[in-house]
Amino acid sequence: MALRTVPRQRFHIINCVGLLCILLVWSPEVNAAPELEPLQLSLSPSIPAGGEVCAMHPEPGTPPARQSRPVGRPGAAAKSGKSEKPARSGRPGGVHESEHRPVPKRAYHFNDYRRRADVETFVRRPDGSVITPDVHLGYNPGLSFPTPMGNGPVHGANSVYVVEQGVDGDTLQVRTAKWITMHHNCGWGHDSKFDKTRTQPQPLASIPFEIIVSDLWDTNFHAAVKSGDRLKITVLSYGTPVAGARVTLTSEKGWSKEVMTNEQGVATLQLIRDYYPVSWDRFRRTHRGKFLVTARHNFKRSGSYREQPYQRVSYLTTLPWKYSPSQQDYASYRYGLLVALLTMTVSGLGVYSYRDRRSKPYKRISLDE
Amino acid sequence: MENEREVQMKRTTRLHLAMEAEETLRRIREFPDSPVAMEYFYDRFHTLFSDEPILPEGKKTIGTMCVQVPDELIYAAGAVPFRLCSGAYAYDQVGAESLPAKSCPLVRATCGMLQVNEELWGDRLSAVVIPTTCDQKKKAAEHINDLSYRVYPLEMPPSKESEASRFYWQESVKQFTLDLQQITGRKITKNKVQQAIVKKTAATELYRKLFELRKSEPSPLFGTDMLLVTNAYFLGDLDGWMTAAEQLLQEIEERKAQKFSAGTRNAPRILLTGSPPIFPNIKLPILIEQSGGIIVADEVCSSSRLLYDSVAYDEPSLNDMVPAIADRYLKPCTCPCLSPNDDRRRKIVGMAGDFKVDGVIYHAFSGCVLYEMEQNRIGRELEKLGIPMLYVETDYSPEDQGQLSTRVEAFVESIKFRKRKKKR
Amino acid sequence: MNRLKKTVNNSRVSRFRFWFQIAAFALLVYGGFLAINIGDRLPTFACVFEDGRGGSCYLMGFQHQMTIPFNRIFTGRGIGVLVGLLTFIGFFILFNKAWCGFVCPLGTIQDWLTKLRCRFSVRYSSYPESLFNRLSSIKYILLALLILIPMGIGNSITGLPKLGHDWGVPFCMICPGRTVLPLFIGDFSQLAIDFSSRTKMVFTALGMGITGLFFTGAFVKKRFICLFCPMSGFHYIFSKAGMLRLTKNGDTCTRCGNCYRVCDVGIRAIADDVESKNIVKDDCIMCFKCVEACPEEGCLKASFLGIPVYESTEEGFFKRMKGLDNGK
Repeated sequence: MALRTVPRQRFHIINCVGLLCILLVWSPEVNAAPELEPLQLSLSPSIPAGGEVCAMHPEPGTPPARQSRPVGRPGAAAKSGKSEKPARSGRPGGVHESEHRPVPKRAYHFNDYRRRADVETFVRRPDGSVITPDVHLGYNPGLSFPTPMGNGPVHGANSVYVVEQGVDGDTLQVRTAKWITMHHNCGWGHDSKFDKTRTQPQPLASIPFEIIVSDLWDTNFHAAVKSGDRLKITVLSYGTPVAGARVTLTSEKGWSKEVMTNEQGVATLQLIRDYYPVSWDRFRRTHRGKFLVTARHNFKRSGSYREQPYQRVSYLTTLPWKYSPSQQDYASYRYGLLVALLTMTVSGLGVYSYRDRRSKPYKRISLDE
Repeated sequence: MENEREVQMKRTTRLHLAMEAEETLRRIREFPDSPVAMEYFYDRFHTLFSDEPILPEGKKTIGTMCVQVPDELIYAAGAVPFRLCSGAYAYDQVGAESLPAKSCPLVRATCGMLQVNEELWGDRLSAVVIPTTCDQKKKAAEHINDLSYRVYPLEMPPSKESEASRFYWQESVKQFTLDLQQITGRKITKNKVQQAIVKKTAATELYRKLFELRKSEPSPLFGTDMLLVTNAYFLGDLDGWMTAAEQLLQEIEERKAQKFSAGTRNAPRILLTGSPPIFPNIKLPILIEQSGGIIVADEVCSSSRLLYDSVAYDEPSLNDMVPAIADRYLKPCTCPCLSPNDDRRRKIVGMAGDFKVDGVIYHAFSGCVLYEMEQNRIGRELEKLGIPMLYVETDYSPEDQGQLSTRVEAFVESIKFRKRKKKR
Repeated sequence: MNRLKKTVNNSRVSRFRFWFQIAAFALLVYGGFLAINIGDRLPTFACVFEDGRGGSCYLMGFQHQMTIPFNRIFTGRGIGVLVGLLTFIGFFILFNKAWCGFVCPLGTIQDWLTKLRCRFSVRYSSYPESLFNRLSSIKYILLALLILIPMGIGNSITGLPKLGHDWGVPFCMICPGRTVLPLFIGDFSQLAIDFSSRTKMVFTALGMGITGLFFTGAFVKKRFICLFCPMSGFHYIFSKAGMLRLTKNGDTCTRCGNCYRVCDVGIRAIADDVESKNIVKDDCIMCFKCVEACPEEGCLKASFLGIPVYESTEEGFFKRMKGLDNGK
């Protein structure tokens, strides 16, 4: 498996708790020969508002053609195109999708599609309604859909799906890609904790193959995954759990691990620490690293799709996600408690000795010279 | 020889005392319809002066002078406070032998009393607590100390406005708490202090109810009687006092319900302020009420200043309750020894309104410069409100009775006249 | 009606307050678990760092909003700031400073610490008047800082470079509410010192230091932290518009000092000021203990929109004092 890290962009945003966020957006490509490359969704540069920029188009204003030229082509071409991109890691400004800077329209790329296959796209809104985004295929495939502003049905986690199905030889190849975007503004209220459906990932029964990761968001609409977390990953096919699916977690630096789902379609994977800045000064608490969850499964099932018979079905899906460093990496209870206990002791003794001193006869008045 | 003279002096003083007390009681009894419950109070004074003056039995007795001595602490120490301020002319004459003629008769009488009863009380009084209030009391402390009494000067600030003076007083009272334990040999615990506060508060509540009743028109109780009630509080028998005061309260409440009027229906309502009338020197209140006026309120340290205020504390600990007690004796105090003493002016003005007062009689002992000096300011303030004020300077001698009664009668008559005129 | 009034005036507001505080504490600290949310612009320390909260403190949102770049004041964002402020004022004037005395969870904890101290028979401290007056101004300094620092994040003030985002919500970082309140739902994460940047480190260390001080301070001094609370200063700006009021009739006051005696924050004016009618001072927490301790008829009065709700009466005072004998 060849995996490459593409340019990352750092930039600052203010989120709801006033934290500084640096997001890294990254598109690993998994070369899954002889299988198809997984489909992946990533941000689009077409809407520069709110600082949303695509991984493939690092800076708004730069001609997108240069970077995106190879992307539209299926297979190996896309791979080589991405490898040409200049590394931008560490540079502020540019790519991210903020959880707290809503925009009225969202647009995403997907990296690949087969000309002969069918491509369908869906957006599942937090209230459960499903809309079909505008899709444009061709040289630079992508999709876009409106996210009206305000505390309405769109407020919360919107799941974006691309489903590509087509028969290849004797196999029905089904590739899906998923992206979850948070449409939220602090001004719309923080009632997520009272209305969990806004932040809890909900499956969509019309999707052939889908990954659900639990506890992606905290109650303040922030991405909550931290390195070291155990991710509970559920693999679903048309809304029903799939046992024995292979689930792979690939970290930013290329570490990956594969496990099988159990009877309930659940696999658990621990996210390793994968963020090692060169010096402590460079450490950013709000660093956002990326990882990719991929699931695949093959069924022996014959049928026909669009009047083309097949003997086997091959499912492949991805969910890119982000994580922050664990609090254990940079925070210490020991020192915290030490400071508190120290002040308590010192002030306590101070009060005690002051009282003791004051109980002796008389407080002298000192005159200011 | 000296001894013989002293024995003679004591004998005549006692005789004079008994006569003085009898005479005063007789004049009080001349008032019509005195409440049955008043008998206890009359009787207290009768026994106090008819024979050898008796201190409360059973418990250690702490002599006190001035209202600033915290009773609660004395009760908490298992002792009984006994206020020594005397109103007896006979004692005054004894005191005058060693104190200047221009000094305050109350101070002279008190010194005289302690001198006459030295043998009798010397061992029985565990201490005489004298707050450093006015100059005369302060100096009297030295005289009393020369007798065989243990004098405890309770240091008081000359003002109550600053926080510094408040803390100074609190420290004084805290020190007094410590010393009191030595004097009585009993530990002052927080439970005892709390109980003492609650008990004193109950007495205050009783007093306040009587105080309130006199706001009604017509007033159901003579001011002279009221002065005797508060006077009896000096004598240390708190339980007996409370029972009697409660009975009196009931009786007066019934009287109020029947719209009973102690004086005549349209009797001018008088506020008495200034130097304290103390039995048997209650000639001025008697004169006022004999002249047809009725004392509905008073602002004197033998009555309202003694019992009106109450302690409030936040935590039932000694370190909060004792300063709280200290605060009660300083913050609301309107003694003219404090300067500035604007609260006294405010209090008199407030009372004049609340009690629908027709006239104020300002009583000053000749020799009490402090009251004499405050007279002017109070007078001007009352003038603004259109309330007439009579300034009376007198001492304990009965000689000026005739002249006094003429002035008081004229004052009362003029108020009556004004009232009648107003009605028309 | 008169009988009801009498019963209320004879009652002990402290006892009511004790239970009310527990209820308010439960609501603001655990209300979120029951899907309760009374608002996110509350004029009280319903800490945002505490996940079970039933409402949120305004100061956090306010500090956030203060990062507004100056050139965007007259845009929608400016309106957002204004709406937030108006909501806060709306909540505030309803109960005036009683938010401090009856609702604030941090105040409640301090009152509990005071009860604990009483149990140990440790005496309390009080400040000398001059120190009290000096310390009193700290809350305004903190209030100014919690506006200016966020402004420095969103703007370059007098040409200085903008502050980093680690300076965000500076007051929250030093507020003991952040460290203490999450403990009540078993969340200890706020106790840590954050070494991820120097600013964070200083702020979290300061926060923990203040937490330490909070416990000792509140143990020896009643309502220790309230004297420094910028929320209290913020309140005071709008206090005159409050619907709930505490008024004093100076004519009936004897300056006996009972009210001052029981005052948790030590406001001397309550006893010695006989001129002002509205007696709510900036440190006042409207606990109404002063009303409880006042023996003068109608001298101190709490009223809501002009309707008296709790008034000092002679009868009530003596009833309460007598009650002290029975241990309670």
